[in-house]
Amino acid sequence: METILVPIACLLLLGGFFIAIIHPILTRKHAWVRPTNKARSRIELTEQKEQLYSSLRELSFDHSLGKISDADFETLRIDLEAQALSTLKQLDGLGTDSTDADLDAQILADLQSVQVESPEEGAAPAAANFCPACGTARQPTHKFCAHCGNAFATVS
Amino acid sequence: MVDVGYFALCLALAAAGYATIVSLLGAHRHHEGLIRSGENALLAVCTLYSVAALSLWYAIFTKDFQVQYVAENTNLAMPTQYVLASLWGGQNGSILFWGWVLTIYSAAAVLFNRHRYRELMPYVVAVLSATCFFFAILNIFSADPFTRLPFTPADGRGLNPILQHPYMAIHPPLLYAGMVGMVVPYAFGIAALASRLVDNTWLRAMRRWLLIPWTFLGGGLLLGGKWAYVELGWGGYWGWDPVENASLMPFLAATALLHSIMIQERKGMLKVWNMLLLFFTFGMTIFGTFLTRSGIVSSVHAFAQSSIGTYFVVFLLLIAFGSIILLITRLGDLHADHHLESFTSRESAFLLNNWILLALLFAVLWGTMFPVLSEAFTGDKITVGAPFFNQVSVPMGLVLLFLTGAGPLFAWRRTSTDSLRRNFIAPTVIAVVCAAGFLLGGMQDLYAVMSLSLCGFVVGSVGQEFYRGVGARRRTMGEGAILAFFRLLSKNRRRYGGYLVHLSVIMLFVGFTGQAFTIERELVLERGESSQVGNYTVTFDALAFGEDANKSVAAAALTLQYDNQFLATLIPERHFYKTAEQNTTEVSIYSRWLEDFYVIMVGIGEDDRSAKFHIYINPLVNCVWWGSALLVLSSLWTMWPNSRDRRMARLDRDAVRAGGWQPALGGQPT
Repeated sequence: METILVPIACLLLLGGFFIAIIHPILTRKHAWVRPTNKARSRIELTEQKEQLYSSLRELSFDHSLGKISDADFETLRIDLEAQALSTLKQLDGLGTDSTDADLDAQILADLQSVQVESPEEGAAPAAANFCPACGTARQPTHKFCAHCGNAFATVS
Repeated sequence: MVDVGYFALCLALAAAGYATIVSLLGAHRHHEGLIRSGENALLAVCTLYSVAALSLWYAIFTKDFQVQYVAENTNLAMPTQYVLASLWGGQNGSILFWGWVLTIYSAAAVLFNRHRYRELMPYVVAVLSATCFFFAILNIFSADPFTRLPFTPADGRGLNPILQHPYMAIHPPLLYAGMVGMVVPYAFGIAALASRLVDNTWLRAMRRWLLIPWTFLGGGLLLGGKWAYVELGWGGYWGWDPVENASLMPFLAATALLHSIMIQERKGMLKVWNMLLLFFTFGMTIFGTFLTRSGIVSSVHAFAQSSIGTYFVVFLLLIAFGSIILLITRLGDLHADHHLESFTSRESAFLLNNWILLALLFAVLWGTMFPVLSEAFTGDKITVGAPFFNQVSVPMGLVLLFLTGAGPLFAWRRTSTDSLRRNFIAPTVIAVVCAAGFLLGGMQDLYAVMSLSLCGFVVGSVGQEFYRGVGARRRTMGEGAILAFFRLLSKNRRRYGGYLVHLSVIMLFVGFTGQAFTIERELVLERGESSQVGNYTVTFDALAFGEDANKSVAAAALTLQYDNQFLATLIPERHFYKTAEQNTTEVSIYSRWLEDFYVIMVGIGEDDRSAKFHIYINPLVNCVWWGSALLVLSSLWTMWPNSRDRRMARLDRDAVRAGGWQPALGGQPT
């Protein structure tokens, strides 16, 4: 019995292997599917933004715990906000071609809203003023993102 | 069935070679079909290795003694549960098992990233499959578990008796899962360098792949300690054996890496350093395997001397030179975005922690390799024992312990003297009170006083973090204390989960410190005779003999009393395994909250009326086991994905779907 089963099993393995490696070559005759450079930059900047928001929240939380002195808090906060501002501007430059005159004011308002009293990584970053999917600035009255069409949650 | 296994191994070798080449070719030509074909080939390697491993298991279960490995590592008398462990009980099987775990990790890395990190994946697959290729070569050319004997023996030799233990059935798989898993973060590091995409993407991709094997390695090390404690019968759990050191070294390197990637994530610093640490971590896992398998160092659990060492040396050299050359060619891309702003910052504390961990690693490496080096240079093999390791590791461990508590008290970037004073005051007071208490209480061992006081310091520091955090949530969110505590833990897993890991480290250190107070006695007792050990009284009641097909057993019954109160009947045993002609001891342990009473029957008098016992009272040893359980649980807690991870994952997938698709071959995506 085993004399028949062994070659059959080996042939099955070999056949399965060849199908597994040849199938994609035959069916996917297109270029490497990967994020474009622009999409990569957006992801990188979004992550940087998330990181900076989380640092700001943590800073503000640590300050409220009394771990950080007022002077330290102010210097670090101003610096982090400046970094966040520049990141958001870069992100906005990638996301839309519009030049919103109120952008700076919006970003500042957004940054202030970040500084809640708890370092919650879970909270959507500055949910009120930016699209969580693409990071584009939004008007408080909008229900959908003007750039990517993402439906906003009920926060306003 | 073993023929199918052997065929699967050979096909796995071809598949791994194919996957390496075709992935690199796919990346070079920007051809999606080739890249996916490489990934499928790597999935096939996993399937084929599984077939090979299952067919060896089948041979083991069906007791096919014509297969040399089965004849050497099992026998008819062995209980079924240990037959399972025979797969990794011997050299060749353990290499097969190692390769199998490697292919499972590789397949998981492919499957989890079908739609993510596509820009890195071809290189990741190439590195993973090249490693699989190496292990397949080992299995086929140097450690073939399917070799047949020219005859079929009536019975096998059986698994080494000291491995016939329940902990042994899970300690090696855990340890392997820890050692082998380090290949995935390494593959992501190499992929980042090869693709020149050295931003934070690869760090994000690999962080969890580093935490998983780190947890396994930590759990595996401590379970190994537990096995040694209950099975080897020398009263302790860590003997600085070369094989223990072999898995400790990658654990230390990975711990350093886990901390220093946080600095890179936040500040874009230490990019080269982190790459080096990553290479080193992976290199150490391969080096550790080499130490264990090649037989160049003698150890309680090293495998027999074999030609396998040469293969490992070649592979290690390839890894070392390949990685370093790649790193050097990419140095231009690895400029730091920021610099260290102040020495009183979290970053500095982390850096110091890195240096100490590495110093400890090199000390362990030096001690482990000293016998080999001394033999090479002087002709005499000089072995350094536990005293050397304790002498160097205890002071460094104390500094690490201090940093465990001090690190969280520093803020990122800079901390003013005023804040430092405020943050340090409570933990320092606790440490000083502890130290004074211990000294006044008559504790004489200075290291023990320092260690326990520093544990107090860390508990103070972590406790202060939780206390203040809970307080802040109660104030701002109006939550009750318990709810606030759980919210604090779940809303910021990385920070507060990390603190829980630190608490588990404290429990481990408390347990380690307990060794300073071990009471050790050797007693020869006649039947019916009692003796006092510490506050305990032991009475040797009876001696009995038994036998089964696998072994003969001599068991002593001892009555244990504490302050004249009956506690338990202890039954230490001596086993004689017939096929292996080997004696082992089965210790008997009475475990209390604060200490263990640990009895080994060393020998039996000729008239069977007296017996010699070795007794240890091991204070605080249970803290090690509780600490290790907390370590595993809290690192699972820390690595569990949060909503930010999920948002980033969605963004990654959307970017691939929306951005990369091009209808025809050729050209860079824009």
